[in-house]
Amino acid sequence: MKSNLTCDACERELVAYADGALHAAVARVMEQHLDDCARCRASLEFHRAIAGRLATLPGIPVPPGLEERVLRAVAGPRRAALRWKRASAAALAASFAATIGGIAFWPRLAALWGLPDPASALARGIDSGVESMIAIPKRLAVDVAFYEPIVRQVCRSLDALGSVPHAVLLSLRSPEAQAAGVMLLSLGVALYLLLRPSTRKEGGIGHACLAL
Amino acid sequence: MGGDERDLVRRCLAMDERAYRELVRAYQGPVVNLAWRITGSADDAAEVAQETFIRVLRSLSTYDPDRPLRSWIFKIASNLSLDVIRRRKRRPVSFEDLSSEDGPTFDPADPGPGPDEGMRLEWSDERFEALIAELPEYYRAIVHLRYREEMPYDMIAETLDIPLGTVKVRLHRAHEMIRRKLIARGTTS
Repeated sequence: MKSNLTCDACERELVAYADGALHAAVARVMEQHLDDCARCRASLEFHRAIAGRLATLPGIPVPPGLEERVLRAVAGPRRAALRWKRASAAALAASFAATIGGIAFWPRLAALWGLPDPASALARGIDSGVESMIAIPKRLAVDVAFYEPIVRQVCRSLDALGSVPHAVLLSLRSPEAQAAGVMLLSLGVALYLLLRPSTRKEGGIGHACLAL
Repeated sequence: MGGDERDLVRRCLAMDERAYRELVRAYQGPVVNLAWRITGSADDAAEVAQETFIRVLRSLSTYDPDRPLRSWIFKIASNLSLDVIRRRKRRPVSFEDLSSEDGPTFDPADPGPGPDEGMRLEWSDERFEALIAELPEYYRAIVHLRYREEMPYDMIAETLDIPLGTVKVRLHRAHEMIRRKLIARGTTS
């Protein structure tokens, strides 16, 4: 049976046909055309030969050390992190064991090496520690008990002094207070004039007061 | 993905160093050769392969286990290889972005392959290799994945992120380019 496939169309599908990548129905049509066309048959053989040649071309060898370089890049940081974790865990376990061992065996070792009894040394250490801890607040309490009343009195005095100018101003508002003020001021001036020491002669009340 | 591969991926995700080694050993040859085929340089291929496995092992948690592992690894390798070429050419390159499918078209007047061209297929590996190296990088990649890695068309499409029809067209054009180069060599030599 002669197919209607042209050589042009056949040629376009020949490589896929040689690779077995065509749909079965299309492949059957191709086969019919190839049965009748020597030129397309020769072309098919040629494509098959090219495919065979391409498949057998030698490649290049794997570069040496590729696997190690990849592993170093990928697993290296993880390996280092794992190593660090393990070392930390080992150090922690060792310090724990040393602490427990020290507590358990120190009395025997102390006796063996002629060191003071660890129990009494520990008690002394705790005692001195507690003493020093108590001494500081004790000293502070004494200081506070001494200075606190003085400071309180000073504060009160300052408060009282602060209110004096205000009281004076208030009192001067009434006419009686103003009259008393004028009288007090006059009395003060009179006393000053009476009692001031003379520059020309010695004696008088002023000099007597100064002599006292 | 097969059970063995699933198990390998699971062990890699559990940071099993032996699983890392197994994965690298299983794919290092194909990855190096794919990168070499695309970049054309053994040094670049080594660099691409190393970066590919580092990325694969670091981003394995994002891998979809329903997709073939080989395809996923090759996809990373081919993209990294294109990056190398992009750096060389200082222009963007992608398997998808081909502004013109500039391969040869069928010429009805062409009498087809003759016995001389068939004989030229018997050239030494070096001569044939040099001829393949002249193909554009996206054709080299597709030819390598099909004939060297024996990937089916749909897997090539997935790996290179291109439509299935494009795989078929480019393979056909790669064959045609090789044929024309063989003819040209025959007439010039």
